[in-house]
Amino acid sequence: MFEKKEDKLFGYAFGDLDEQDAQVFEASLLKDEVSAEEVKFLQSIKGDLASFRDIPEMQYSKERLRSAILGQGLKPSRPGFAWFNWVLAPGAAACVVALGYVLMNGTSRKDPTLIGVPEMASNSGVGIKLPEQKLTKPEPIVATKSESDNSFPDIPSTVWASDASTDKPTYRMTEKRDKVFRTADRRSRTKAPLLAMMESKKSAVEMASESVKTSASLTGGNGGGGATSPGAASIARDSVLKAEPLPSVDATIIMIDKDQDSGVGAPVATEVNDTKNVVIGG
Amino acid sequence: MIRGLTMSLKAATTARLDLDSDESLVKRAREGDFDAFEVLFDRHRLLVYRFAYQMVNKRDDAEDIVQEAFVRAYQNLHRYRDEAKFTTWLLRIVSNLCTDQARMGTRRNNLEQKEAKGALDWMTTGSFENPIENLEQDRRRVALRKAIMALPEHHRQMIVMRDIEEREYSEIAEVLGCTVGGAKLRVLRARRALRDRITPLLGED
Repeated sequence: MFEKKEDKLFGYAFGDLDEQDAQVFEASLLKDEVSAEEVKFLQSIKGDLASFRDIPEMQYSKERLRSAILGQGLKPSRPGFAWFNWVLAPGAAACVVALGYVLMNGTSRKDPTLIGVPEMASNSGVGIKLPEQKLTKPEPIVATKSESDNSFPDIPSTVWASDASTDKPTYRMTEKRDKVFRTADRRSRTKAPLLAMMESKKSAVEMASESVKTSASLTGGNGGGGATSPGAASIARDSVLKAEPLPSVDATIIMIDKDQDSGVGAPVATEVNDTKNVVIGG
Repeated sequence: MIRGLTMSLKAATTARLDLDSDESLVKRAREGDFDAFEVLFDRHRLLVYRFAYQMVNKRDDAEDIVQEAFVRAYQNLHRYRDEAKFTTWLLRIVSNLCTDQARMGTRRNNLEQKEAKGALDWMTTGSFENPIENLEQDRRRVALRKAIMALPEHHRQMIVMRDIEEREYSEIAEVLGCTVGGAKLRVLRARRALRDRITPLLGED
């Protein structure tokens, strides 16, 4: 109620009421001195506000505007591109996302390197065959272990490997294996092409399987060390070149890339569980 | 014969009026005719300047706003839709600019006042009246100007548009983008705020 009265009071003082309402309100003011005082005060404010209409003359000229606009080479922007941007923006965003996805997940898998782990060798004798066409480039890193040597400890310590290109031995601590191994997702991605390759090499392996029984022991009894030595690895490589086929063993093969894993600081490794029909090579 | 002449004269006059209308000038300016835009500037610069001056109460600042408003209008001519009056659209630009300027100006004024230790009060209130005027009235006006400048930006806009520039509620509603009822309500709130601010100022004096 008060609000309505105050609204009318302001409306009357500032001349916003229509004629009929103004007359009614004016009549009510005769009985209400407080409101009448308020109206008088507001009307004086209205008069003072009206006097603010006088302002100093403007000195801004047309020439200044001309220099401000044309001097800077400004032009009215074209309306045609406004809707085009709306269409273009989602497409551009999608492209960026797709590119980001490819960059994040599309790690190259060139020059995979296979090494044998002690468990594999301890189960049965291992002979590794490198297909001849793979020997030139990339040069594989291989390691092997004699089938007669069962002196590996239960917990593997070190796997020795030899890089054929530099002929320098390299090694990785197998304790890091859990970290090096990536998620099952990555493993599944890398397993499929490897198995396909295995299939293509299957016949060659079968043909050479006879000679594996006679393959020589590649390392000569380094039982205390629990690992193949660099020299042994080098000998192993030479033996492998004699084209021994891969035996069928239920052991683990680790594929190691040359690319470094930024999280671990070691080369990226991938574990392949099923080694049946595996031909190891570059 | 005479009737025919009269009709053709009327048609020519109408065509001329159409050619000089804000809408046709805007159309020409959009196509790169800067002279047409200068005609618009000549026509509406006082309107823009008056509003800007009442909002910032400094001539230099008001002229800066005028320039910026017309530059923005020129650059955004394609956004102007013919359904609204050009002056309404222009006032909307000026209103936004004044809001921006007020945000920066508050900071700057505080700094200046701090440096001058209050000596700038007479300048910021913008009294340029004849000093022989009635002292009482002058005192009231100074207090009123202080109260207006102390109002929040949106209230000050309402007081300027309705009570100083005496614009119609429908025009205010167009500038604000609201209904006429909404414009009336905003003006009422602004007047209340002004009354609440000026009462203690007059009491102090």
